[in-house]
Amino acid sequence: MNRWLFIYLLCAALPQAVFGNIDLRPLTFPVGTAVGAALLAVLFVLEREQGNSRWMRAFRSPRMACRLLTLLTVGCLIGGCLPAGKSVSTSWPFVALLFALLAHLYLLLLHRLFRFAWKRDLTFLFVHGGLWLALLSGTLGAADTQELHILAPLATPTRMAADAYGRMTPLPHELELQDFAVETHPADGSPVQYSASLLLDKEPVTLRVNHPYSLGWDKDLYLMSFGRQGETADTTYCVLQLVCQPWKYPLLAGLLLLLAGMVGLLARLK
Amino acid sequence: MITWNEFFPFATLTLLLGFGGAAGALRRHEGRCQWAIGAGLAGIGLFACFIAGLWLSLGRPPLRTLGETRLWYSLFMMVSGWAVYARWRYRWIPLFSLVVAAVFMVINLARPELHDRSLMPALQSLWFIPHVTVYMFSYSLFGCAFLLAVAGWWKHTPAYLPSTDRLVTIGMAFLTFGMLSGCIWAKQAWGNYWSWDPKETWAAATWCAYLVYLHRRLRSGSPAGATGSYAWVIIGFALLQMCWYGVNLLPSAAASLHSYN
Repeated sequence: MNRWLFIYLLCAALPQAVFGNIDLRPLTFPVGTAVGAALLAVLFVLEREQGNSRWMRAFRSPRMACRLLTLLTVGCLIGGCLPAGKSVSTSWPFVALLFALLAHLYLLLLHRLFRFAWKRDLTFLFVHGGLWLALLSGTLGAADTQELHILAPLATPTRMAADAYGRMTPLPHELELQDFAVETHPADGSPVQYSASLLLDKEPVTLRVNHPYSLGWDKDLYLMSFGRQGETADTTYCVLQLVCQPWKYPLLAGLLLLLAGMVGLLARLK
Repeated sequence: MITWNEFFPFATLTLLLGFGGAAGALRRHEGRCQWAIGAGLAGIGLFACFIAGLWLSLGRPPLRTLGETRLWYSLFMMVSGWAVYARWRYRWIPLFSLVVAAVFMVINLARPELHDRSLMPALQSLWFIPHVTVYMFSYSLFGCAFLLAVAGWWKHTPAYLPSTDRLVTIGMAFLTFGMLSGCIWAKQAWGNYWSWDPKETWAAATWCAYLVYLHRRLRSGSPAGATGSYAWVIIGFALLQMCWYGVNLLPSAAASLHSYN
């Protein structure tokens, strides 16, 4: 298995050497979701037909989990040492490792589900199922996540935003910054909260740090920064971020399942 | 009003009580030494009073700067050390955990960081207190697991593995809660649950390393030796130090979303 894992990573290293990091744009919905669903279907059939073969048992084993997690530790270590601006998370070998971990977890879950026993498997299901759902939503959902940055000048309506590649794109909403306030600590005058009063499609909205405004089930508007233009000391613009993340609730469900699994793990400890 | 100026007397008294208790635990070869546990608990109570007093005088939880998190680590390290002694009766663990706690107290005395009153807007969240305290508690459990792993490796014995298993399992549960609460908070603050920021990347490395240990221990009947398992606890602890404060030494830290100093 070690040899096959090495060959698998070598295959992932080749496109890395030729193309650089993965461009997520071709993998937006429905392409990425369709590829993901097809892979899961193939793995499902493999587990049904070949679940007890030597290969499948080896792929589901704790030994395989150790190998994958060791490689992920090394990947994260490399990523942690890289300078700002360089990312390991979208490199071919790292994404290949994440997909291998997803496949390992999926086969493990299917195997247990086919032989499910409540008392024995519930915590296992929560921990591994939660991690699998969070990883799946994070990896497949990465291509579908869109972050737009909006420069909102004071008292000037805007309908344009910049995407992650710096291209200007029209917004489906009209935004106008009406006021910006800084709340300070009474003892030393240091800022404790920033708030921006906006008109969003002519409706008044207040944005604060840590308090995004929901524009729908998948869209949230954030206050990111503020500044001034010209000689005046007053705030004359703020930077907003519109995040569209269709996978946010499956990802949250995965995190909560994992959390429930951890509580179960503690409860079972003797 | 308790301020940072009172740290030295509080820390000194805490260490005197702690080391007195640790000496009592070392001298008792059978069972638990009740008065030693009492002295250790008194030291912990005194240190907790200092943190509570500092919290009141600052008007915010003392969890913002590295120096402040070191306070919590020292507290939880003592709690974990005495809890491990009370549960498994390793008579040397209170002394070693206290030495680790003392090192962090001395660092705080030597390098007291700015402890101003303000809590910046990014930290004004319900998640702030549970996220940091749970992390610090898990770090202290991993600290005790690290001490056991070093002892096991040094003595070439698998005898410490069952206790290490429990400490790592409980530590993992708390570390995971810390990470998940951080994910949910990050979505509220920055729009993404996970952004592979340098701190998050090192946290993921730490999490994976401890998971390797737990999965190694699942491999019943495997030739995987105790030494290898202890090695993963030691690697995990080294990565933890990197994630906690070592990351600040890297050039990429300047661009980190987690920089609050």
